[in-house]
Amino acid sequence: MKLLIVDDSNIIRSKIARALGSRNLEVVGLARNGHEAVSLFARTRPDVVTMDLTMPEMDGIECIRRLLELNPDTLILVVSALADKATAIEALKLGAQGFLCKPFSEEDLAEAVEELIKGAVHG
Amino acid sequence: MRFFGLGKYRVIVLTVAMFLVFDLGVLVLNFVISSQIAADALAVNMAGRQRMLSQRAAKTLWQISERAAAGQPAGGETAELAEAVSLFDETLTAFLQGGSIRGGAGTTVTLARIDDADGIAILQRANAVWAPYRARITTLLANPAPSVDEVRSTLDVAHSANLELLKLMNELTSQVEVTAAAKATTLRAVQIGGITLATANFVLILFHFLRKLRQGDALLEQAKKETDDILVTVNEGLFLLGRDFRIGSQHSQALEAILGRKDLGGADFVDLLRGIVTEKTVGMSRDYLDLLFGERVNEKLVSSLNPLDVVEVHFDDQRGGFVTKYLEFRFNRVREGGVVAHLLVTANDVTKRVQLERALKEAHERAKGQMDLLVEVLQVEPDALRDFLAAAALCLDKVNTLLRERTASATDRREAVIAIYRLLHGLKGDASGVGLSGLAEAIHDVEDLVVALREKHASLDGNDFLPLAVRLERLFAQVDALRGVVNRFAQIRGVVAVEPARPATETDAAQAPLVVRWREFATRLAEKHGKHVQFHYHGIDPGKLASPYREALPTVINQFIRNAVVHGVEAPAQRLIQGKPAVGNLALYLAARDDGGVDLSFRDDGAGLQLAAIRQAAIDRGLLSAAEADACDARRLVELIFKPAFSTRASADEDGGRGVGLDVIRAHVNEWGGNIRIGSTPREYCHFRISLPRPSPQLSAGAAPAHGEAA
Amino acid sequence: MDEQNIQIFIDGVKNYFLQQTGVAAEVGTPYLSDAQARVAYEYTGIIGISGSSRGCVYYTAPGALLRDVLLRIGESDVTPANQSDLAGEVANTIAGNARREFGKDFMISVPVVVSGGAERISLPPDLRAMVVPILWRKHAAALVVALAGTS
Repeated sequence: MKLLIVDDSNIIRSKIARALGSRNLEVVGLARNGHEAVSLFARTRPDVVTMDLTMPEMDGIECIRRLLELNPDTLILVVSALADKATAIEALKLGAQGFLCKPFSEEDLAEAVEELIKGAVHG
Repeated sequence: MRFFGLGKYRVIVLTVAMFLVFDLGVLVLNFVISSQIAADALAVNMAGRQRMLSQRAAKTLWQISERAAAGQPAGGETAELAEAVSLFDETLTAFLQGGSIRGGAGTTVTLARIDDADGIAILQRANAVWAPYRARITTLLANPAPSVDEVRSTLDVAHSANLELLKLMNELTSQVEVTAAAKATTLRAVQIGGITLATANFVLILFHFLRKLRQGDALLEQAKKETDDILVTVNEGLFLLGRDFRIGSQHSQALEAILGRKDLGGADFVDLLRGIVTEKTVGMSRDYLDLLFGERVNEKLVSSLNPLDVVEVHFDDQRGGFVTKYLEFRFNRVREGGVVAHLLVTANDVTKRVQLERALKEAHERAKGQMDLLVEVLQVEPDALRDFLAAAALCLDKVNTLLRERTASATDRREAVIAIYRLLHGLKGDASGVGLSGLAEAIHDVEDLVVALREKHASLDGNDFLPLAVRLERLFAQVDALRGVVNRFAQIRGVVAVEPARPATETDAAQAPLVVRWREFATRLAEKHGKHVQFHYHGIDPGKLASPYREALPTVINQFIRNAVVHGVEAPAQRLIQGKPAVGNLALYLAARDDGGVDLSFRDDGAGLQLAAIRQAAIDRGLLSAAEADACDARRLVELIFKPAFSTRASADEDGGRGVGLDVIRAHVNEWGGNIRIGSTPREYCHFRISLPRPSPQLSAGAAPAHGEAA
Repeated sequence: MDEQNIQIFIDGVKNYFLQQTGVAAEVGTPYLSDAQARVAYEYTGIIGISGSSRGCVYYTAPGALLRDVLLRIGESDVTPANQSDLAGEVANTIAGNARREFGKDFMISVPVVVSGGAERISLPPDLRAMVVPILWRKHAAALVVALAGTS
């Protein structure tokens, strides 16, 4: 499975890449904002995306909308702080499947992505 | 084991099939019996007809003989005889061998062979009689014109044969009837047997299935009872939520207590939330439920977004208040046929848990806040602090009293602003005097508000005071908090104190806590202004003064110190030029008179009152015109320094320059009915002397010095 | 308690009098009262507040004021029952105003009216309430805001 990581924080991006790169997921792109995410998505065609919500240039909500237009089957895990539940729920209404609250441990993240993929296969 | 895929219905199908088979059997038997009975009836009929035929043959023969005797030819009788003989013969043959014969009215009927021994014997005997009789008649009939004798002899045969035949045919009839009756009895018995079997089968079915049904019902009943027991007993609120957000027909009893209402079955869950949680939470909850009913999101990966996971709810208590509870709702998808049909909702009242967490957190924060305060408070002498806080509470009360009582007219309000300002300014001085810089800053901010009110040109209305009243409440809260800390601190100190209390004497009054405090304040303030001062004290322990002097004295002394350090004592370089020591001296003397009154003297060796500066300040503040100022004598000019809003210092800061200070002292002294005298020599000294009477009980109660302006 | 919130309550009362009677109410100087010195006139309409601030807000007025208001708005029935209703009505207006202004952060209860002494009004203990005198045609009445929790 191919993974695209979208987050404006260097630390978070590398943390996600480290946690998931070793688990049967091929990290095909790291995006710092929505625009980068959309262009990387079009090139790399990932199956799974981890998505931050508050980012410069293009925020996570708009980005989710664009990515799902490109491929409605994409699995999207929102990875964001819980400060604004309403925005996270908005993201899920748009079609993201899961939510992981920052801060998270590498195990939390790995479990969440595993659950996300399992849910997509069975559900 | 499966039976044509019938499963548990196998037995019922089998038994119903058996029932049908028995019924069919009985039906067939019925048919057989009824056709047997018909056949036997025919035989009886035919046997009867033989008697009639035998009679007719005899009768016709007699008629033929009569005609012959009369010499008449035989007419129709011959044909009738032939017919009767033929029919009798045919029927007798059919009884012996079976076969079709003519019935009545041109029909053909089939007669079964008689096959019981008795019947056959009768028939053989009849045949033995019939054969010669038939031969004679046949011969007679063959002769177209028989003689009378021939007819007579045939008639004689007929007489004896006829009697015999009649008797035999009677016997046959009886025999056939007996046989038929025996058959019918047998068949009826078989029929009864069949019906009995079918009935037994039916009863079997009935009992079997009634038992099964009863067992099923009992199981259902048991299951329902178990469910009910669970729903009644469980502490959590349990219910199913439909796609229309309605609560299912069953829910746990605890739910009613948790949600504070009954009649929950079928109620709209979202409506229920509305009114007990904020609109925002209602909206988010609806979205969240939509997500769960949708198939796209992963249930496990969105539970942290549940807006009802610990939600504060407010139930109107119908008495103008709210009962606040904390509820926790958890949602799990219930699938039917792969589709989310319901959400299983678990509701819990977690009020106690949340309150405990909150109390712990608050206690932690309070402890932290108190620790900060404590650090500040620890540096302050406790008795001085306690006195200050008592005075501060009194002062804030006075401000509040002013707000409440001295605000009827616009003029009153202006005056109240001035009085409030003076009170707060004094309090601020005292706060920084005891070293509570945080509180001093807070008061300074409130002062800014009061300044804004004072300088507002339009008339002041009550509403203008709202921000002040709000801030006043916060100052009260801060003072309360400090008192809390001090009290706790005092408790601790009470436990650990080892030093015995020493009686204060005049000599160590200079080391009394308040005096130490004033000394420190003077030193600190001087440092801040780049000056050096030394504070001298003589007299009684100020802590021993009667109320309200004890509480108010620090305000007065602090203002004197502030005035002397900021306005009086010169900078060290300046002092040296003037031939004075670089260090300025402040001297305070406090004495208790025999009449219960108090004398106070405060002296500094600074620049003294600078009349020129006072004159200029009076002009700048519009208190006097330039001409008036010029004409003013020293005495009137000196009185001006007790006016509110008068200061010779250029800009306001925390320590002076607001023009308040001496007016605060004047207000107190006036309130107490005392007097102030001033002595000053330019560049040498300034000396204030205050004489206070024995305090009256009314004063101790802390009335406000609202109109304290000097005359 | 902050002044913006209290101001909204005050404006609620002012609007009520201006719109209903055409005579503006005059706001007196606010001050603080503690639980011992509770302000109450004959009729008091109370609303409970919860959410980011909690406590209660009440409007309290003497019967004479309420009777005058009733007459002024053309109501000839000035019985105590109607006076009580009117106090509730003012509280209701405050509540409605507050709901609109505070939006979603507050929960505001349905008003209840109590008549008689202050002891029937339960205030949070250890809380200084803000008393805002509100005069209308020389009748003294008051709006009392007793809220804790907002810094």
